[in-house]
Amino acid sequence: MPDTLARDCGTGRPFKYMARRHHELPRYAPNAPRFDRHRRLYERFKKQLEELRRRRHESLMARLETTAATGERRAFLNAAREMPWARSGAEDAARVIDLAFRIGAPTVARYIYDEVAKRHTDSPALQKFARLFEPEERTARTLPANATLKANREWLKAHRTEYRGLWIAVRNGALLATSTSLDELIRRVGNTTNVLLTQA
Amino acid sequence: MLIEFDDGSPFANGGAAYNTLPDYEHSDYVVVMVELGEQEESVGLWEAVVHTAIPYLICPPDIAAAVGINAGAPDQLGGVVIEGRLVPGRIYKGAKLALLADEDKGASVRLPVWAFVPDNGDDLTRDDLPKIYLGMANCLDRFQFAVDPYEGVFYFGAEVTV
Repeated sequence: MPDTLARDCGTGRPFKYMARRHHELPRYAPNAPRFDRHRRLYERFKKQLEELRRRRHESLMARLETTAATGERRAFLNAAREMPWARSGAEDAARVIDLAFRIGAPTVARYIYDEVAKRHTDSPALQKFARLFEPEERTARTLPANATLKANREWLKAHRTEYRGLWIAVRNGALLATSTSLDELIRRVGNTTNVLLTQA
Repeated sequence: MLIEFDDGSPFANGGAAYNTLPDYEHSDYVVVMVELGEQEESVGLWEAVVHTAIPYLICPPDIAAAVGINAGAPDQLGGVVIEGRLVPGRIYKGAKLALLADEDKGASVRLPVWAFVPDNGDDLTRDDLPKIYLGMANCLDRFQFAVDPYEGVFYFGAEVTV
């Protein structure tokens, strides 16, 4: 035992010899060796825990990559749910946000962004999503009702099957034109205002 | 008659009768009529399937080009699982969707949503349904809506803050 320990224990003067037995230590620090052993154990467990977390993180990232590539959406969502985003880095989070968009899970992408971006405000990897996720203004506008909808619906209900597979243009319950392609149909109709364009 | 909360404030701004497809006689998919795009002048009316199991406003490339949704650069590459298949495409934030009301059912509403344009329009494989879908995330979740299955009316309401 180094004599610094004895000094630290408050004797105010150094030991002249190395303590070898518990009873040889000063009375006011009888548990010092045990604490030292606990500290070393704690350090070891902490390292092991960090290693386990690192391996789990790598395993989950691999699962997320694989399931996104194979289109297994349910498995992807499960892996995303298991990932501790509160401890994740910005690069990994950005990668998974990108994967979440590619597999059709925008709500998961937003959740991860919200969880991670607040801790990594300067991350370039996350900043590319900033515009996408920035709050949108309430910009709904009220427009007049449309008086032609009912007639168009009724026409479709009565005649849709006669034009199966074709693009059709219907205005106020009257068929204007049909075509095999939308571009051609729009060219034929000209002014498409209030014209229902649909594939029968 | 539009739906109201207990305090008299309206739940819905407007409503419109809907058709069901692929079978008109049975309740399959609810199909409503909408306008798309930024233009003040209507480019046309389109049929859209209400589909709460997928995200975004999904719009095939030919219709997106006609209404100008995909005129700019996409905000994000993405994908959507439709009918069990992962369809790749591009996401456009702020596409304008107008929900159209029948003349006796309040007012129409135009609001911004996220549009998804598949890379290949043929990936929307169902030929017995319109190719435009109103999905839940970033589209239907932007406003209150309700379906009256007895009268066959789709009600849409005030924009939800996001």
